[in-house]
Amino acid sequence: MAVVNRKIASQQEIAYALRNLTDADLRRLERIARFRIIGLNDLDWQDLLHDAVARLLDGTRRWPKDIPLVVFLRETMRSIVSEHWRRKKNTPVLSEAQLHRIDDTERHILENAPDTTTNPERQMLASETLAKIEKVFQGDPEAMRVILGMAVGKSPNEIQKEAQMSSKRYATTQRRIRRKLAREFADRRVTK
Amino acid sequence: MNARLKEQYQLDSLLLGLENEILKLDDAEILSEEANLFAHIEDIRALVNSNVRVYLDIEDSSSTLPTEDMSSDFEQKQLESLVVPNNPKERRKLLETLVSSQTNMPLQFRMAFSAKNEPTEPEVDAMIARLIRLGILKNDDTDE
Repeated sequence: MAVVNRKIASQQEIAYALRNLTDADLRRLERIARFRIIGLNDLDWQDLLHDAVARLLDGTRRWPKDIPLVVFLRETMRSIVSEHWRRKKNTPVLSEAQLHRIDDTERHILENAPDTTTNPERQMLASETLAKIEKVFQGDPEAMRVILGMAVGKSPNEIQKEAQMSSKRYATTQRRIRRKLAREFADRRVTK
Repeated sequence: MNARLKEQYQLDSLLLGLENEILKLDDAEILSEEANLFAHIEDIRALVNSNVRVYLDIEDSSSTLPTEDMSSDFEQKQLESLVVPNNPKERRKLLETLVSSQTNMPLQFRMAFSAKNEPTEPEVDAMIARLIRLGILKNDDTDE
């Protein structure tokens, strides 16, 4: 792989970029944070987003400027959840090398790195969460096909091809999935 | 791979897939999706800016950017004057006090001092270093 010299944003640049996030970007971050805490009962989305922003500003996470800020914050939130599990049980966590492994053909810096933080409690919660999601969509086989495809890491194109769905139908199904999950997990109370 | 571990990876993949779809949505679409299920945009902006404001106030006192909430200025000025002691016990005490009294401390810090946890000395030092990098604390240059 070619070595790419990435320009890292200064703290000042990060601060101004955060200030200039659009309404749509802020909503994206909220939605992503809400997704990322699905299955967790001791972390709320505000804490997660707050901490991700703090880590950018204090230099704990270095933002390469060619990666969209929202994408980078998504990856930061993902790593925070990984760390959250490590703190709960003394288990392996995503390494710095994994966190910053950047494929120059891929904008998503963590997409292909598996989340290796694991412990029995986490596995049990994942199992329960998947069961809950399955229950929510038990009367919607089309949504289940999309969910199962995403769960095994298939791309949208692969899912559409296998399920013989048009892109329009896929987008409609995705919208339905988002709406149902948002409703299902919106009222979750955090126990601290 | 056992079944449970497999499910953990499946959930992570599913979340990634859902997040990717969110990233791909155009602005109009994401803003039109059932706003009643989500936070007010201004609340999210305030959440993000609570960190930014601390940074800008410290690093760029000449900034002409408006600050929406000036109520924490006094609190911030007090924080800026804090100096990190050399004594490990005092450092721990200072950090513990900050975590319990400041609402804008990172989640990681609050978790470190939660009922079940007692951070080690290196962990305390790492957190202190982070606050120094952020400009919230200053090193004590005097000898003990």
